[in-house]
Amino acid sequence: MPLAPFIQVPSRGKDGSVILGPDGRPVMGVAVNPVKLFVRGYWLIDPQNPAVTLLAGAQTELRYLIDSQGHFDWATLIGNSTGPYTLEFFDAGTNRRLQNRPVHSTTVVGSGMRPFRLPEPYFFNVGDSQRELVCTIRNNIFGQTNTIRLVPYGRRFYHKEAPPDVAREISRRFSEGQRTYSYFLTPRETNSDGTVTAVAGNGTATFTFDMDANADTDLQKFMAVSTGAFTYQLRERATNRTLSNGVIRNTEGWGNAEFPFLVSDTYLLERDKQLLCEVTDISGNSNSIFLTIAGRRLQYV
Amino acid sequence: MSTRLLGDLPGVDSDTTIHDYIPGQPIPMLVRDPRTGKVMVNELKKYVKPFTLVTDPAVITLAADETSNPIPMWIDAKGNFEIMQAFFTSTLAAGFTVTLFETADRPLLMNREVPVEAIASGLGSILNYETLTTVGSAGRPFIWPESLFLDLGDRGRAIFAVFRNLSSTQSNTIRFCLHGQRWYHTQAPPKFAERMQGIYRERFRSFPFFYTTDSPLAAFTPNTTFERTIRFTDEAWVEWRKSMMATNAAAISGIRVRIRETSTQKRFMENPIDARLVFGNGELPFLNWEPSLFEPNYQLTIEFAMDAVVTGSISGIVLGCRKIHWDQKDDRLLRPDVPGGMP
Repeated sequence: MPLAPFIQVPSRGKDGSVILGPDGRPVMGVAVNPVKLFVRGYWLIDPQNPAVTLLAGAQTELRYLIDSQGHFDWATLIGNSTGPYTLEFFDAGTNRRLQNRPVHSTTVVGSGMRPFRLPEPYFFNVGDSQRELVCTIRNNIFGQTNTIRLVPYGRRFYHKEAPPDVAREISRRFSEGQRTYSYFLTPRETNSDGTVTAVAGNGTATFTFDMDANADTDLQKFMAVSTGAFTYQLRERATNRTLSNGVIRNTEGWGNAEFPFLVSDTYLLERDKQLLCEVTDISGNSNSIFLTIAGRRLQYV
Repeated sequence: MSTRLLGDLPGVDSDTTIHDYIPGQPIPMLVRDPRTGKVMVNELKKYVKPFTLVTDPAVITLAADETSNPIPMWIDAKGNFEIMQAFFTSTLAAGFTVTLFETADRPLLMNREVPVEAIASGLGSILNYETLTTVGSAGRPFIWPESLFLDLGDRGRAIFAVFRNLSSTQSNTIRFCLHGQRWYHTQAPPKFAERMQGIYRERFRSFPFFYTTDSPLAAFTPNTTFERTIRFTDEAWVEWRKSMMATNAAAISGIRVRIRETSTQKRFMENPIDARLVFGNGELPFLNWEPSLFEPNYQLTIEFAMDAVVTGSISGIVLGCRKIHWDQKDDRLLRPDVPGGMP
């Protein structure tokens, strides 16, 4: 949630004392939220690679440096490109990967008009130093030269410019909540470079979303891109419970980065549990299906 | 995290709001009496109805390059009008500019003319992965950064609009309308009429404002750069909430922008980035996840940098803002815990 621009505070007289009303309570007045003035929207870019052109099959690393001017609270992912690609994020400060395998750009990269909003903002606390977000992008799907722009968007907290009490308030507020973070989940069948093995025309396949032993994950957004139509059904491996009473067409339960499918209630995928997606191609042709689920990971401590 | 395990389950009795009005949201149909706990129809809702305000005449034909005379949008005195959204149609993709005058308390809603595509819905949108046509434009309304309350008094009022055709070669047939809700306080029982007027008085100090660059944009010549400024006026605080642009082509490329605060040199991005990642349009504006609050008389500088190959151009950029006037008696309260400075 954005910070409120104005807050109510007790009115004070010229001598600094609180003004009391006839009922003995402070008379309230409106004041500028002192924190708000040190918070600004911020587009985070790799200054060396604001736009990177990759030949077919090539890969590179984008390095997003968050300098010591202030914390960065990452909210959305936006960009554009000549064609699709795969990407994976690594937070060097916490030594944390933000996905289990590389994800397809169409499933997580939105546009300025329709940004992909992370399931929850990802906070980079720069402390007295700086932080770095690394993104490996691979042009391994498009088959042609690909010009890619990728920008995490969020807000900067310029706490070092703020008065001490405001700086302390910012630090206090964000010292909590470090156990949860946004996470992209792709099926176990996804290759290590993000590519997939195509499902045969009219064939079937089972994709397994599995969760490691380190975290519970709250799944919120379902995105997919494929070279053809397919039907599917989601099934819990442990209980054999299905999430529908029949097969569903892909357009009825998987969106994309700009219009993700939001499940009516978030799905808790517990540690060491699996969610199966049983698909059937209905295009009649070889079908490359890229599935991504975005969620919120609760680290087990 | 909620400690109520079933806290998110709906329950009419316990979860129905006790508030008859929540700014920025539809007026609740049901409210709960906090004293008895009973859920009842919100009486306020009976006297508030959706309303669309059109120009008079509704259809306007502008000759090539023509600037219209002020065209009225009449509102009768039956009830106050709260404007929330804007729509338009234009036979030419080039579109038109609009300047809105509000004659009574607040003279202008923009610092100068703005392209209609940047403040209203009606032209469709091209996204990364799909193209949205004008057929669905009404489903993607441009919601103003703040609703505008018009107190109509006893005689009604008017908004005046001036349009300028952006085509220099063809005539353009246009429509422009504003959508919101009427507060029929004159027909409501005194208790609810007073409540409505009270809501209006609470909202009077904030209203929407559209800032565009202080001067028109230059030509988007490949491998060149130029700068423009946006100076916020000095009578109010400004909260920048949405970012829009109007383009003269279905898809632009090769135009990069960087925004910085003129006085502090604080940058919103380290280097210029693709304009499509900074600005949306009226249908799908770029939403500032954290609206930025600026002191009166603040200035932003917008840098434009063109690549070697440029496709299309930008006819204008617009920041959708909320202006907040301060009350004179609150002057001393501009910072919490600061002793008053009023004489």
